[in-house]
Parts: sequence; C-alpha cells; structure tokens
Amino acid sequence: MIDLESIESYLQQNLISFDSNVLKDIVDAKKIYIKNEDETNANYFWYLEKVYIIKELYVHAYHELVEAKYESAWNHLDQTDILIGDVCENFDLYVSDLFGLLKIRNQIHDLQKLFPYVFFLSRESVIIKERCSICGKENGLRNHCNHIPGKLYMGKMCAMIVEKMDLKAFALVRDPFDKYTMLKPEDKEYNYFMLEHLLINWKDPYDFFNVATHKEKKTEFHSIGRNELCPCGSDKKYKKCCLGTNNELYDHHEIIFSHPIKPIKKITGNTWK
Amino acid sequence: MFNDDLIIEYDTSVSFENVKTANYFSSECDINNTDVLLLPYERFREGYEILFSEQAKEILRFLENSNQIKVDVPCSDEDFKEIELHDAVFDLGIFLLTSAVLPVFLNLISSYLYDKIKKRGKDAKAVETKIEINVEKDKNKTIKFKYKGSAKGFVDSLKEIEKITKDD
Ligand SMILES: [Zn+2]
Ligand SMILES: [Zn+2]
Repeated sequence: MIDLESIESYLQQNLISFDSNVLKDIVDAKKIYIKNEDETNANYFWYLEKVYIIKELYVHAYHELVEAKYESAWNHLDQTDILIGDVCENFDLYVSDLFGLLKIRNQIHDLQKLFPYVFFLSRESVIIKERCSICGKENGLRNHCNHIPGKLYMGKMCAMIVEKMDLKAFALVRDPFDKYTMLKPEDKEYNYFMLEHLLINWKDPYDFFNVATHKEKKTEFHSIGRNELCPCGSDKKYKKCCLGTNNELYDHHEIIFSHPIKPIKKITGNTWK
Repeated sequence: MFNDDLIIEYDTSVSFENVKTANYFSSECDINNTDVLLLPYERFREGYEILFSEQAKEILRFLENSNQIKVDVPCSDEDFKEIELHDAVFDLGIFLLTSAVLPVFLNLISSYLYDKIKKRGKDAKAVETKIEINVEKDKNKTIKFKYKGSAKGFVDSLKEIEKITKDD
C-alpha cells in the first residue's frame, strides 16, 4: 500500500540525490488510481510524479553547469520551466506550493539571464490538422471535443497532436516567450563568463540567489566627447547618434546571495569569446 | 522595457456588414448572433489567404466558456488555420465587437492574458503583447485600437479604451 505522507515528505526535501524507487511507487499508484477511475488521486499522483522529475531535472542541470556543459544545462532548465508551467495549469501553486516549485522556477528565470544566448531559431508553421491526445477527436474550429490543452484528465495531460503541418519559414527571434533552439554560428563561441563567476559561489542548487538588472553604459562610450565620432561605427557624431539612447547601454546583472560570499570584482564581457 | 504604443483610428470601415462581403466569409459563421468576431490576418504568408495566431482557438474557447459573450470567426472550419510563430510577442489577435460588449470583452481578454503570464511565472512588464480591437458603435463608425507593448501597459490602457469609446 502506498504511503502518501512519506512520499510527500520525501519530495518536500531539497533533493540532491534521487531514489528511483520512489518514482516507481508514484507511477504505480497513479496507474491504480487511473484503473479505478479515481480522477482526483490520479491527477494528484501525476503532480507528485512531475515534482520528482522537475527536481531531478533541475539538479541535473545544476551539475551540468558545474561541469561547464552550458548548452545542455540550458535545455534542461528550459524543460524544467515548461514542466512547472504544466503543473501551474492544474494546481494553483500560488495558493499552496508544498514542494517549493515556484522558487525553483524563479531561480531558473534568473539563471536564464546569465546565459549569453540572444537569438533563437524558431520554426514558423501552419497547423493543418491536429488531434486531441485524450479522446482522439480532430480539433476543428467549430467541431471539437471539450478537452482543454494543458489540463489534466484522469492523470493525463491533454495535448494537441499535430498530424499535418506546413513548414513556412525559419525565423530568428530574440527572447521568445518559450525558449527554443539558440543560434549556434559555426565560427563563434559563446562566452559564459557570468555563469563561470556565479559558480565560484554557487555550491548548492537550492541556495537560491537573485539577479538584479541595471542599465549601465558600455565601456566604449565611457570617455567619448559629444563631438567625437560615435563608437558604434556609424560615422556620425556621438551627440547626433547614440548619446542618450539605449544603444550605449547594456544590462548589468548583479547576483545577490542571501549569505556572505567570496568577493568578486565587477566584470564585463561580450556575448562571444 | 517596451515602448507601449496605443494607436487609435476613428471612423474606419471595419464592420460586421463589411465582413459579410469578405472573400473568406462563410455562412458557417453565425454572424448575426455574434458579439465578438475574431478576424484573420490576410495574406500573411504565401499559400494562405487568411491565417490566425497560434493561440486563436484557445482564446476563442476561453471567451466562449465565459458564457458572457457570443464569439465566432467569419470563415469556414476548413479555412481556419493557425500559424505558429513562436516569437516573443504574445499575439492576442484582431477583434471586431459591438460597443455594448466592450467592457466585458476587455475584462475577459485581460484576465486571459494575466492568467497565462502568471501560470508561466513571467512578469507582465517583461512580456510583450499585441492586439487589435475594432469597436463598432454605429454603421460605419468603428474605432480601431491597435496596441503593441508590455502586457502591463495593455491592462493599464483598458480604462482609456473604454472612455474613448464612450466619448466619441
Ligand atoms: Zn478530446
Ligand atoms: Zn552611434
């Protein structure tokens, strides 16, 4: 018999290592509730399963950061973020966040600011035909089932399965609502200096920090006279070009821990090495 | 973070009557019993006369399920296609509605947007959104509100949109 209380208290911990038997117990219990058509419990065990996966994925991404596998860490952080969003669709974590998922999500959003990725390649496609994953009905404009994508039905999340689509274009987008593949030019290497500096002091994935962002003037604009040529290379005078515009500013990210840290001098760096 | 732009155009020709004459108009649409129409992007991508934003169906069903307004789309099921752009801008779509339902509509669409942002743990100041709202007051007297900017800026401008519609 499954002991809900012990599973909950297991998942409430700041887990670093994971016992796959717990996950197996959760999934087995979920299957039984599905079989018995106990929707409330089936959905709740879906949630518990996701909590396990979210924490494991998050800690995995942390270790990848430590090992300087930044791209992979980025993708796993993104996946974790999406999974927490799926949970939020079905459980109001703002009312009760028993397992501390919102703190993990805030940490992911702050971590994402420290990555150098600026552009993402995204696919533009027209959806021709899609089907509901719960009942299999085609999702037409007027002719459709009542299942809502993202919502849980008997321990399963509804998704629309695209059966036919027409790929129209690829586009470069800046900071999309959802993160997709970052651009990887062959001849350039990303500069992960902000993460490298974070990791000097970040020794525990549950040691949550904040990132405060301020606008600061780029170094090349520091000692330019109003009538000198603008450093941006436009051939115009500075006062007629970038002076006072966003062009001469960059986002300076300050990492704030809740405890004393080894002092780090202020550093600046570029997106590329 | 974004420049919040609200562009207002008076006396435009967008109207329920004119939509009936559009090439894409289909009798599958119950236009005479509709408070709000979701209009398509025309000739947005080659091969498609009309397209809708990627969350169009979701927004329509959200509005429908409120049971407060009647919503429809002026084309056939067959012609209704969504394009996924995956870009940074959260596109709510182009709407045509009667002035009577404007307050209800604004209330619903802004709570849809805020709920979405909250569930994804984003900041309303940092999410860019766009929407076009055509409010038909009388025949040939439509006001167009075109907004692009932060989600917060949109919600902040709702009162203004209502007031301008009332005063005009
Ligand atoms: Zn269904
Ligand atoms: Zn310049």
